[in-house]
Amino acid sequence: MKNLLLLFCALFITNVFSQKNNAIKELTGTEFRPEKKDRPYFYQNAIKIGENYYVIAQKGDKAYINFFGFSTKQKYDFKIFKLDAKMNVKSVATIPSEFEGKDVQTLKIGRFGDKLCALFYFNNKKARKQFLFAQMYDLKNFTPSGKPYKIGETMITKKETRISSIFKVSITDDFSKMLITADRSNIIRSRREKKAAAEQKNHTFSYWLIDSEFKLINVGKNVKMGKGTTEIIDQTFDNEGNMCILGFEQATTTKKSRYVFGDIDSDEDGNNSKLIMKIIRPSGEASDITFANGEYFYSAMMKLNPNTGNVAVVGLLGSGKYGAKGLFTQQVNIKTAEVLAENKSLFGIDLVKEINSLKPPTVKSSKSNTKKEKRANKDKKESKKVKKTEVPDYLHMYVRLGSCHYNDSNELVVVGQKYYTYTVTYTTTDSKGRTTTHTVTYYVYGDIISFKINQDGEIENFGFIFHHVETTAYVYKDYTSLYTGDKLYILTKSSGGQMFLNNKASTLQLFKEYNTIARRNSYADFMNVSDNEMIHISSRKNKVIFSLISVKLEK
Amino acid sequence: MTNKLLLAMLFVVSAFSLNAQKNKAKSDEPSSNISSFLNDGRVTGVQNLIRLRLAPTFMGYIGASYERKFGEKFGIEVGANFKTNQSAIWEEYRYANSNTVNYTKYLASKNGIGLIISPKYYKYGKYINHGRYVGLQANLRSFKSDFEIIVPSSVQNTTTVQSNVSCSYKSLFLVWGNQRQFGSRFTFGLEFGFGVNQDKIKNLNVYDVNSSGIVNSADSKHYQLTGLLDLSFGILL
Repeated sequence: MKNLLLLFCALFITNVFSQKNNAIKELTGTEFRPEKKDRPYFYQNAIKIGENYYVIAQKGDKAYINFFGFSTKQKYDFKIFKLDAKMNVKSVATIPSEFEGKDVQTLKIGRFGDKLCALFYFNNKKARKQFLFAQMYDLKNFTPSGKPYKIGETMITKKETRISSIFKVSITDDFSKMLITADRSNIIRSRREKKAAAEQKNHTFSYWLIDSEFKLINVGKNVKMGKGTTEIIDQTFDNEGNMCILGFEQATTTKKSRYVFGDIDSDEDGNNSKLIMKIIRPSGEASDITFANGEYFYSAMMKLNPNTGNVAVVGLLGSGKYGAKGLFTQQVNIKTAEVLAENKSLFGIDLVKEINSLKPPTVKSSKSNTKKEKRANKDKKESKKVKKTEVPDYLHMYVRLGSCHYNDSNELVVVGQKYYTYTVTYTTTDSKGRTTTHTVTYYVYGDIISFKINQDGEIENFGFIFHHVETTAYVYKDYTSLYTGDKLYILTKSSGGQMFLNNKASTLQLFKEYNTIARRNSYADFMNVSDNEMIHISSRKNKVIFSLISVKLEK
Repeated sequence: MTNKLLLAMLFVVSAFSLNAQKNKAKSDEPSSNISSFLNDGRVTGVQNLIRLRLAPTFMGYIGASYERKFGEKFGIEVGANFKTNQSAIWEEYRYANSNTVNYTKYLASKNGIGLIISPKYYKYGKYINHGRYVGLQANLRSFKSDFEIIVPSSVQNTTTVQSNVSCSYKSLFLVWGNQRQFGSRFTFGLEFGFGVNQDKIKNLNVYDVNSSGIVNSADSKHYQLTGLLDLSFGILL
């Protein structure tokens, strides 16, 4: 009897403990061992159609030198894993990257209309053009549906025969339209282009808007947008075909030969950059908008609110001291190109102090408490010393804007991350005294901070998650965010949970699957499927485990 | 008259420019005729190749081989060579019997024919343009040669030459190869392997120590392990 009571007590305690982090539901499928030819290198995206999930991966773009001395390029095929509702792999299909015997390079695959659309690009050395092709595939058996189409083309120079894609592709939420832009500012440009940028001449880009039947709705070739060194940083469009392109224009006052948007080493004083926007209507009529003149941004992005038709432009204002000093927001109506109020919210000393004073939540224990109190006292003393010298009004290393969301009250929730890099040079000496050195760059993805901005553009409150991941491989961000039911959820490769916007630090729940494989050399990745679902992938050399991470929605 | 000519020229030029504008607008439309966009001057997606091998030319052969792939994985190469010149590399045939060992030397090998048959399994490469393979290579060569019979100097100071001796050479190699396309329709390949070969010489005269004279030996066969290293240039068909 006593044992039974104890068991019930134990069950109750575990149940209560598990409810603490019940925002995330995890469903893990059985371990899958793909054949060698089906082992992908990059997981690209995931879609849900009906009850099935499709995880799209790429075979890889690895090139290696074989023992004959020839460099061999692996095929850029797409691999599609078809999963059932229980996350078990039902089939693996290959979409080969080949048209008429030519190897083309894969770019992206996603749902377009009621089919899968695979995008490929091809660098034509003879024509000196990069072509973008689209091929529809049937979802049942992954066989080609109809012919492949050329949907975009852009110029490449003689030296640019192995360049990556110049095209950016977006698809509307209802999968009915595709916007393709071609901007050459992300690649090494020709002498003529460099000269034009130095002389502050017009920067141009091209765009194509097509529907799922591959009919051209709108096109613009060599459309002027910005001057000098301009870079397109984001693009969005509504279901009616109103397009909005966001760019960053950098005045060439800097002595740097090539300026990169979001360059953390850039000096604020010598900066005269601005955000530029072009709104193009389906009729071809265009409006140019310029804002934030003279401001410097670490990063910027935009988000379309389908309820109001407003596009919110959000930028992280750089302080010039490797940290963000505030948030810039600007709302523009995509249909009328009407510019609404511009807002600039600086964090200020108090908010920065409040954020910096946050400490990771600790588990209570009597032994360690005394030590921690001592440490806290030390910290207080040190912080007092800091106060005397300098109190920063910027968030150190907070330079990456990851996502922004609208809530039902048309308020904005902006999520960003601390980020920095460092390099280590390793020197090794062998028995003969020969030394070899190699340098490794480490990318550090730090704390995730979000801000809720009200309709007046003021920061209402913030959420904070302690996070620290170091990798040798670059990714833009190592987390994803979902905003649903006025709640913000953050998912990293190893954990997930709700991020409370209550001016306190939130904790994330470690995924169960991560615990089981963390000891082994594994690779983890995730992809959003819908507003509240994400597929998590844990893979080793020959095993893959798919998990569905979903947010429990409250009714 | 000149004005009329000028007007006519202007009309022609304007017609061309209008046409060009139309074409430009049309080129923006998504097009399913992708052949023109994929045409970068390189021959691809073919399964036939004419190959010229470097190693046989060192042996005095001139010829070519034809290779065809059947599906993605299998291919077969068949070639013919004609011996027109003496081998560029030093050749020696060692003849041995139970009594003595004598050396005979190829002097002028000529009037020969060679065949090459090589089935291959391609581990990589859908088309013949580039790929990595493993396969067998059988070489069959037959030619006439003059031989210098080496007689010990204590017996005879002059050398004796035997002409038009029938020789054959058969070999079977296990090969690994790799080839890739360069330029519009050319390939460059590298192949190496190891195997066994058989030299066969009919009715070769040798000096016999026991009889102290030159005698006609029976057909001789000689086996040995050997290696292969070959470079090749191909033309895609």
